[in-house]
Amino acid sequence: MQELVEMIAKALVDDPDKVVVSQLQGEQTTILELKVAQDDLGKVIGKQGRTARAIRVILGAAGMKEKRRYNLEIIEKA
Amino acid sequence: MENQEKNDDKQEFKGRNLEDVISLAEHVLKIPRTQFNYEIVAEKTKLFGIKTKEIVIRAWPKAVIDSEPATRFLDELLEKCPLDLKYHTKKNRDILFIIFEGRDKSLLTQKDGALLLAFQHILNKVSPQKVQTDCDFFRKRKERELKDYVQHVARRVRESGRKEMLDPMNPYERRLVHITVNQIPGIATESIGEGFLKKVKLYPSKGRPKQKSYS
Repeated sequence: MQELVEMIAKALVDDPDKVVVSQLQGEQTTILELKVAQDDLGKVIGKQGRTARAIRVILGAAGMKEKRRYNLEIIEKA
Repeated sequence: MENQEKNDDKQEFKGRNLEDVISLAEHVLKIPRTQFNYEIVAEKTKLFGIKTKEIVIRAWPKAVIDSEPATRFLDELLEKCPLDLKYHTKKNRDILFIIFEGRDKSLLTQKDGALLLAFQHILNKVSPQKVQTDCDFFRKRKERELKDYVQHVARRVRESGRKEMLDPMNPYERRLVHITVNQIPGIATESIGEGFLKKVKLYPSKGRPKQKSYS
């Protein structure tokens, strides 16, 4: 799933080399932290958060197959 | 606004009949007529002076649909995604249609097609062409439902004379609402709100229904 988010994010941003996805495994929930370049933040979030929501919807559906909940967090790179 | 921009790369051609104008457009654009779209801007018979016809068209090259960026992205996505989905593509004018199949296709149309529209949104970011996703005629079904519902509300507005507000809808749905209601005399529509989702207001138009001219 980490790879899935990474692949989608890389397709959306201008600077794919700066895309990093890390995974925090919980008991039922996995948190995926997506880091992108500062200038690409808007690209993965989208107007009114539509792109971020779309990624979460895809992640949610994919998670259902695995009976696991995925949480996507988008993080600003320092 | 959008139309204005689009018209910038459309050239106008004048001539005495359609055949003449199209030949002229072919000559100027340097492409055969099968490779450009055109629309007729004006057609008139000059009554004064010599009785001649004049026709004006606007022509622009057809967009070559390049489905490659979209399909390459989708192939990779489906490979990494545990969902069992397949798809085939169709091209229509400037739109690339992606029609999903597969064992998990029922997930796509759940929750008002949330997943289907999520794929569409991301694909539109990746593809230079407009992409529309569909599955099991979901779109047709939704359109039919929406049309029936809107016609029902319009009738109610006409009978009661009171305005009614529809639920928030996306631009595609709102367009369909406006088109449907505009065919019903005596009822007018207006979009209300800001942003992607807006509400449409249906209200009785004052006085006699507007006379539409089809000139």
